[in-house]
Amino acid sequence: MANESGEHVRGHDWRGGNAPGLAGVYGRLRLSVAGKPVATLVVEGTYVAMIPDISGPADATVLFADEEVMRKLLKGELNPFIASMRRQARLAGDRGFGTRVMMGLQVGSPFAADANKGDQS
Amino acid sequence: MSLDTVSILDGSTFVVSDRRGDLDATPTENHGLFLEDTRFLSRWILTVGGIRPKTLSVDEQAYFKVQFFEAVTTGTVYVDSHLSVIRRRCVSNGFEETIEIENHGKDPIDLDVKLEVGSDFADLFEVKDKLAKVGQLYSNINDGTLTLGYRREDFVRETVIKSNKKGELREDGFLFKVKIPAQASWSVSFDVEARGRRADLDLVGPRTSALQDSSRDKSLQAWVAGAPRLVASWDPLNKIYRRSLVDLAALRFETGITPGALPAAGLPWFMAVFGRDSLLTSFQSLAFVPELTAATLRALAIVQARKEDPFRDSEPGKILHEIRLGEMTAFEARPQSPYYGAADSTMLFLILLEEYARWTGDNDIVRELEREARAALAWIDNYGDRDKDGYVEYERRMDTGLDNQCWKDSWDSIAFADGTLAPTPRATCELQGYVYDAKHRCARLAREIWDDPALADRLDKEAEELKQRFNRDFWIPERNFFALALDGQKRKVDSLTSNIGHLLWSGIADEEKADKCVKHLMSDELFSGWGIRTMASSEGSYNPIGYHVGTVWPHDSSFIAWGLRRYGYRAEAARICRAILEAADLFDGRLPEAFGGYPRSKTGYPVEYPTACSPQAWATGAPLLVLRTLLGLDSDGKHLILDPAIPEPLGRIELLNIPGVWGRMDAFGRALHASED
Repeated sequence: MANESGEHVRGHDWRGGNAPGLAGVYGRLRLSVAGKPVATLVVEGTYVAMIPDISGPADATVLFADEEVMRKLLKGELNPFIASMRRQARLAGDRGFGTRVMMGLQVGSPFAADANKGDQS
Repeated sequence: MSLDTVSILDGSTFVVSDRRGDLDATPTENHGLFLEDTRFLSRWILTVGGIRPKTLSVDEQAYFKVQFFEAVTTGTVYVDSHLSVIRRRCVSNGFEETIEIENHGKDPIDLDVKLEVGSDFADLFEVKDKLAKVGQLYSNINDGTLTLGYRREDFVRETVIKSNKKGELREDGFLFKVKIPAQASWSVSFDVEARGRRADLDLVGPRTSALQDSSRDKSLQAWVAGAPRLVASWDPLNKIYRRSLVDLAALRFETGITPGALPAAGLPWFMAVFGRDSLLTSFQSLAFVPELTAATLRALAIVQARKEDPFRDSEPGKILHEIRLGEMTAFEARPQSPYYGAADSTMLFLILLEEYARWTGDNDIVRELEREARAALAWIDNYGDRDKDGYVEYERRMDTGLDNQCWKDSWDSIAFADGTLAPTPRATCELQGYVYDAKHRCARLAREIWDDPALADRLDKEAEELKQRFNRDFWIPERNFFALALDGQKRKVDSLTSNIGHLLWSGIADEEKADKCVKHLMSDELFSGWGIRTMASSEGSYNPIGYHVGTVWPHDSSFIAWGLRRYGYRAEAARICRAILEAADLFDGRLPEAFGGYPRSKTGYPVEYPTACSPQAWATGAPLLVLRTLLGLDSDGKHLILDPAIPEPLGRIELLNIPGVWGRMDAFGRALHASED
């Protein structure tokens, strides 16, 4: 896992790194925007990275309404429960794992700084 | 719940109607179809020939389905009605209803059958607090389907209503022009679907008929069959026990984030995940349905707080108070996403974890949740004790938070004997007891399962230091009981309350001080004859129908009785247990959340509290903990311990097939006559 440092996905440079809120959490979370899989989040304890894989195994899938919602959730800026209530994001599969990841990124996300670098507005 | 309403429920979906089966929500009638803290139907009124049928009887077949038997009558005495109506309703992510009209007359009849429908899509908080909507209501008719909807930005909720018969469909309901031959019947079925936050995911696949589906009947049968079998010579106890098991089944709540279901708090206001309620109910029911406890622990661990957030009173390691899913939470007018304003849930989580492991022998869950348990322990010292005075205290960070973050969470519950409110932060006494108990219990887990003797020694030492400190700082020598709390100025809040009973459950009270507290608990001021009052009748704030300042809460009394057993007060525990069960019998087997604190000498029955939830999880769990107390059931981690103390009127109690680390065991107990005792 340590080799997977980050990827250019959907126009953004998502560098992996330390996420202290994910301590003890392991697995793969598929990311899907507007119904299309776009990448996979690989979580290994406090280390998290995004890889462009869209067909390999995943423990759960998070379905984002649009890219803006994905960006905010991965950066830990949007409360995942509120996103769910407003139908902006949903979890399928192992929702316990997905909830742990989304809540863990709220504590501190390696994407918080990097996610803006590749913005193509 | 009012006796004038009928409720059916399944998970977070529930329907509250009048006894006709109609929903007619008003500021004073909280009727409706509710899902995820939103009312999806506020109007559902049947008229037959322009008349609202009169109820003959209501058959509550199961917690999720009901039948209403009605007659169409003008009310004229001595004139028999020739038209009867049977409404069959079953809840399932909405509900399904069949209306059958029978013409018992000798002539055919032409009728207008009208169903008036509407929805206000009120958030439960709006229903409670009578607030106005911000977004837009809409409705449309398409292909025989009526859709009622509400939109506020991307918050969309819809109610989709279909009937199996063609009629005139309007935005306010359905009209059928019906001709029923003599001695014949006509029927129509409606499918009402509530589309909540996961609508697009939950709609995958066809919707099955709730009325035809027998899986929930079978699931309920399996649930009851899986619990121990009770044979009691005092017959009402058999009924109370079964009702408790069925109501617990009804309150099971699938969060979807972990396997299994945990108990939701209560109908109608608290059909949601509440940390404290789920934890205490799981504790009460552990000896009977331990699977509830495992689901509760795992679900609460996943949503354990990870960061500081003043709006949500969130701090790392804290166990949540409440999750809500309605509009006001979605737009952050309320903080329940989730809200962490409970100062006791974190300790109760640790207490339950150890109790569960000792009862079931499931040490894997203790290893699985070690990280969360350590985070919870860290919260106690790092955040719970806000000012480092050695006690856990609470104070909300923002006005949207709860003023009181102990189980007595109404605004006026923490008051001095003269009725003056205690300023915050408040360190209520039972919180300190829970810390003491949690640390000792976790010391065992650290020593025996986590292989961390240093942590075990530290926790045991801290617990004993806390006990010494507490017995010095909270004791009121002039009144001979423990203070309800230390207030923000470290003054002893000197009113006499049921909280002292929780100190017995936790074991923090010194023996001689416990003895003095027991005398208060059994005094006329605290013991009403039906249970322990939340506040003694001698205190300035006492009100027999004050939510936390004089009413009797069955769960509170059940934990106090359990605590009395811990300290060896068998007769006193039995007396309280008997009182609770006799109250339950008078409530037809279902204890409400709370009832009036009037003395038994004045009333031959416990007086209802007007807005009490029923069924309510920890009231439902109270008879179970009472049974455990009467039989003296405990576990040493290997064996079932049995030490009955049963009051004479209850006679003989047999509890068969008790699950635990021992597999399945039976327990028997009988009342001893005074000469045998």
